Amino acid sequence: MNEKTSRREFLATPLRCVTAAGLLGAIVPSLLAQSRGSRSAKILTRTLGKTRISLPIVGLGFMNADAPDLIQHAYEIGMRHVDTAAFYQNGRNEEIVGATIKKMGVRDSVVIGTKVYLRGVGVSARDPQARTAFRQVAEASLKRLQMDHVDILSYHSVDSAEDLRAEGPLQALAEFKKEGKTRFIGVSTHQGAVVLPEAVRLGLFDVGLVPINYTMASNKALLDAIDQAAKAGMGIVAMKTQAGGLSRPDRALPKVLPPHSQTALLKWVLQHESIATAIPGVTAHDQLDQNITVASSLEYTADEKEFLGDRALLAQAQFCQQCGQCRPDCPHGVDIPTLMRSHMYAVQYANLDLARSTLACLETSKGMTPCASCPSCKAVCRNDVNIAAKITQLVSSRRLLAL
Amino acid sequence: MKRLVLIPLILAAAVFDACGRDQTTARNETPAAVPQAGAAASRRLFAMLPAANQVQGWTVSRAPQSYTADNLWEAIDGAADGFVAYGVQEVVTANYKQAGTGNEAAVEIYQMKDALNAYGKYSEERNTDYRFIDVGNEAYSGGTSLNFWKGAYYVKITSFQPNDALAQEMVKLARSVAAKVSETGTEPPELSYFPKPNQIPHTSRYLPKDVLGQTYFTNGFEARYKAGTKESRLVLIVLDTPARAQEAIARYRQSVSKDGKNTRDVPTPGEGGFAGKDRFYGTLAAVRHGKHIVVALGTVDEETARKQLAQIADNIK
Repeated sequence: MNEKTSRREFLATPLRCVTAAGLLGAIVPSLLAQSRGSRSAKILTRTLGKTRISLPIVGLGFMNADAPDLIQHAYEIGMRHVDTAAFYQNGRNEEIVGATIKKMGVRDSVVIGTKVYLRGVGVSARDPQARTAFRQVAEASLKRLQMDHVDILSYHSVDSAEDLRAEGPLQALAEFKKEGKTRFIGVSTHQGAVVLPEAVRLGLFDVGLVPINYTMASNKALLDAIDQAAKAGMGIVAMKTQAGGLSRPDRALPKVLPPHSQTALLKWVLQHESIATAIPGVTAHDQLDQNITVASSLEYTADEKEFLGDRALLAQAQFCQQCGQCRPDCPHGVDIPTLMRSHMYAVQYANLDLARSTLACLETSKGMTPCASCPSCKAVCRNDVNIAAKITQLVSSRRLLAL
Repeated sequence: MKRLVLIPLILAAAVFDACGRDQTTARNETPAAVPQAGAAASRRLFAMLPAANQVQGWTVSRAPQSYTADNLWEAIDGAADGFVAYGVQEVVTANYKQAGTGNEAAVEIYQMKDALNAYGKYSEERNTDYRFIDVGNEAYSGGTSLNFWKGAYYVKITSFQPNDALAQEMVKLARSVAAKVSETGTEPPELSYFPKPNQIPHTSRYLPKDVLGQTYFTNGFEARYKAGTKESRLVLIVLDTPARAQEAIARYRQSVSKDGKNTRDVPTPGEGGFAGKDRFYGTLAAVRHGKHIVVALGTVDEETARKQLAQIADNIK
């Protein structure tokens, strides 16, 4: 999404996407057709790239959960994709998923995705033991899941093109696919702008899992990488869509979020047609009930429009990326990135102690002292953060920060 | 102008937010028992890592790293959220190599909010199939892991393909860390309320929030039981006040009995509650005892559930 998109254009975007999603949803999803007891409300589906799996646009990110009946609940309301990983809860997460799917008897009706995190067993991607380690972890996952295969086996948390190319994990993944222990191969990454293009180039990955949420609205490189990967046939699964959720919102968002923020944030992600499905993390039943409403409609409510159209929120969502490019702009050599971080702690985290201790680490000449003598801040952020406003807030809060 | 007016309001709100926490979550929101993350905490945590040759032959092969709750995902990806739920303050990690053997191991020290949460995260990840060993307050070794907790710290030692000798070395590394933790901490006293007969060892745990997948259930404790081939679980939720507990159990009943037909009142133990059938767990009974709610799930029958609830209620007294 172009950061210059006007509010009108931004909110108008969903209409085009809903139309496209509606066309895809006209294909009766095979998974939902096999369901028992699913809700009758129409659920939007999209195709997961070249896997040709038609999935509801909202699935279940189970990684932090431990209540097995959440999986049953998710299934009953129409979700058909459960994501877990070997590393979550030291393997217990997979155990819960496996036992529950087995108890429910719905293995053939759901898509199970799990992931192998090599660093979790002390092995790096290019280590000579990487292939062996990958296989061992994946075999242990199948055992915990009580399954002879998963639908998507992903290479977990790959953050460089070099690691993605590493022979060991690629070999292991290809072997697993050949052996029928996974139907499809995926990669999960926090560096989508770098890793997805490499995944496309390698041509080996069927699915890509990437964090994408509203705080990344101006990350053109990531959004372009997602679009290109989708065009190349990779099924894109969106993670971390809720920007931390209500209990711990992303540092780029205000500390207190209204409840309708969660559906707004999820809808915002799914406006992007390149994203086949999202797997927001869930730990409670009412989160599932809230998420499934998005699977039925991507139209914003009035509250959601107001939340996403809030210019103050948008400004706060533009957080300092600590690149330091603004520092030369300041005639006094103030350590602007650290001031921005302190602002984040004070305002967005409401953690005045941390804000104070962050400022305390600065030499006097590099902190807020020179700022008080400047009529206005001359620093310009290359990523559109309003430095002047945030420094004004900090300066005016010196009493609260006991400085 | 509007923004300038908002500034003190935002900051004031930040202060009041910090001060006026919801009492329901007061227990898990009390000030940390250990210092906040920062330079001093980092130094103390780094000092807890095994020094070079502190365990014979083991030296650091990769420089120690530290993480806070904000960037822990860089070290452990999505698993970081699980640690945040238990109030992780700061983490230090280091990789080690043993001279002459080629053995390698990674040590991670998680400074949690307090002993309760250190126990909580440890118990969440605890695998009952592993071998339990004498390190810290409790420890287990199996697969690629040796994990233990002591005081406000949860410590994980990892090595790929450990043989018996390497497993022993991991114990030595773990003990070298444990020795540097002065405060011991204890298991939550609430666990002593749980009846012992048929309790599956090492299945007790602490859950800070979303207990049984319900947002109004915070501060929960759980243990699993086995009678014959039937497994069940007992859950104790300790809320802030009896009034909150009364409201919470009513909401839970509504959640369980969506059609209003599959639960009925039970007058005792405690202030009573309800019993019935849950679509997933089977037999279910829940009662309130002051600010405590006790739930028995999946017992062989309702009578067994009510006996367990009565036992816990007696122990709470």
